[in-house]
Amino acid sequence: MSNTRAAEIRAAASLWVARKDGTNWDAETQSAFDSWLAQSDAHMVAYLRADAAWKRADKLIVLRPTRARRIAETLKDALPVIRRVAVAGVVLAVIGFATVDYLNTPPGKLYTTPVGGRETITLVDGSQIALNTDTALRLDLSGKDRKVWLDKGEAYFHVTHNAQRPFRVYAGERTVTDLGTKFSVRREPARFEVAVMEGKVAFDAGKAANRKPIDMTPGDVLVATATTLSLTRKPPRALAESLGWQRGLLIFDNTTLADAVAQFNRYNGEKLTVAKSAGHLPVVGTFRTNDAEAFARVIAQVFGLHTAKTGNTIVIKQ
Amino acid sequence: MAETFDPGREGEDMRLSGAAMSAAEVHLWFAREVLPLESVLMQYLRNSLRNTAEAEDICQDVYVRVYQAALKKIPEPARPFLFTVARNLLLNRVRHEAIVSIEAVADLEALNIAKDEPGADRWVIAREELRLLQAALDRLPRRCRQAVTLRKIEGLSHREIAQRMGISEKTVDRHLADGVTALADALFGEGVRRPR
Repeated sequence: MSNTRAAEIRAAASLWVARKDGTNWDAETQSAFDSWLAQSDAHMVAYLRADAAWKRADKLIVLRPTRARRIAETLKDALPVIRRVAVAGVVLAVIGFATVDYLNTPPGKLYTTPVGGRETITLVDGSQIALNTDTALRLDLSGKDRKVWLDKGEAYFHVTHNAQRPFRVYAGERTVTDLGTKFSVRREPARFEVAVMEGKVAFDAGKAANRKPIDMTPGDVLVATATTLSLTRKPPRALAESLGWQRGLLIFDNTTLADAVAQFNRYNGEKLTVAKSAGHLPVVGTFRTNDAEAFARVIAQVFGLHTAKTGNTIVIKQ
Repeated sequence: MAETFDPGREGEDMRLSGAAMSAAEVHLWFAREVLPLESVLMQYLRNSLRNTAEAEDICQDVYVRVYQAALKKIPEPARPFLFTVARNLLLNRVRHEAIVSIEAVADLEALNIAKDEPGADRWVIAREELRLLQAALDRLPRRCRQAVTLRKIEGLSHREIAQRMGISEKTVDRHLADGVTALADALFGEGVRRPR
């Protein structure tokens, strides 16, 4: 494609846009630019097109990380290894990291992430566990079974299957047993969710539920509350989007604004609230989990709403 | 002074009277009304041409004619005008080179794409735009992506980008130019898909 007439002119137009965007634009360059534009209307339309795209790309600024994150990253970049250890406490407090808890009696090694944190653990057998925001999980690999206790939050499991060493995730009374697979488990005080991306898992609701384990296959999403249990099937794209958090992203595809806001609040100390009258608006798009403010700004702009910040809360209203 | 005729302010009246538009006004109109039609136009051209690589060139020719017409009088609505120009260009090629699929050209009305659609949801467009931009950014070669990220997300100047990346400002310009091309193709060429 790059050898077409149009592509050559477009490449030239892009270079003019880039130069104009820069620091070395002087009278001489301006007159060279003017004469290039005057050469043909094809140059002019190509320039208008490139210029419009570059201006619209200003929207990318919403991907800018929040200040706390930037400080953490700057520290990591700037400091030599030895000094980095000294600030590790600061950095880890900001971005979240596994910590060992010696005092608690529950079995297993404890891994936690703070609100907005994210951590991936790789086990010796190659299995991986990704912890989402505000999550606590304990791990015991010493016995025959590989055991994980999800105390709170959400984790994604990519398990190297080994029939001799079952991999089980316990969440209170409930147990999820891996049968060769990728799956995620989310535990909240009143709600429990399992989603299977690949392979198979068995879900056991516990003794009190008095029912046989449920075999789940890819696409299955199970939601359990104290009194209800539902099993639905989601398309692969929807499942993949629900795992956007592993890349630090919240991906919405016709999610209601109220739900989107609830999701953001899982990741941030700064909370969003939305006026009831706007809660139904459909949100489509990809956002950084850690930048609720940018989300509020974009939403307000797109739907013609207003935002107001009071203390630690951003209110989105009409 | 207060009674002076201001062509900028009186743009609406001038349009009605059919007088020549100011170039700046035509440029704004072109970005606002014509460029967003590129994905539909490209789809139409690709369907009509055996050699799809030519679609880009014809698209460019369509733009030139639409732009030249607009300098005399802005054609509104833009959509039917753009597709009429496109069809005429294709018909010319049929006469000269017989490379155009004739049904596609004749079917313009049936295709329904030339109709003006005032209901096109600008909210949808705004929401999808960020997604398109981000996807295009992710696809850029590493150094180019780095330069665009430093400019558009971190907000550094070209000089600062040059220092950070250890390259000349000229090279920064070249990386950014590649970024401009890719972002323009993503925004206009791929177009904004409506969510299902």
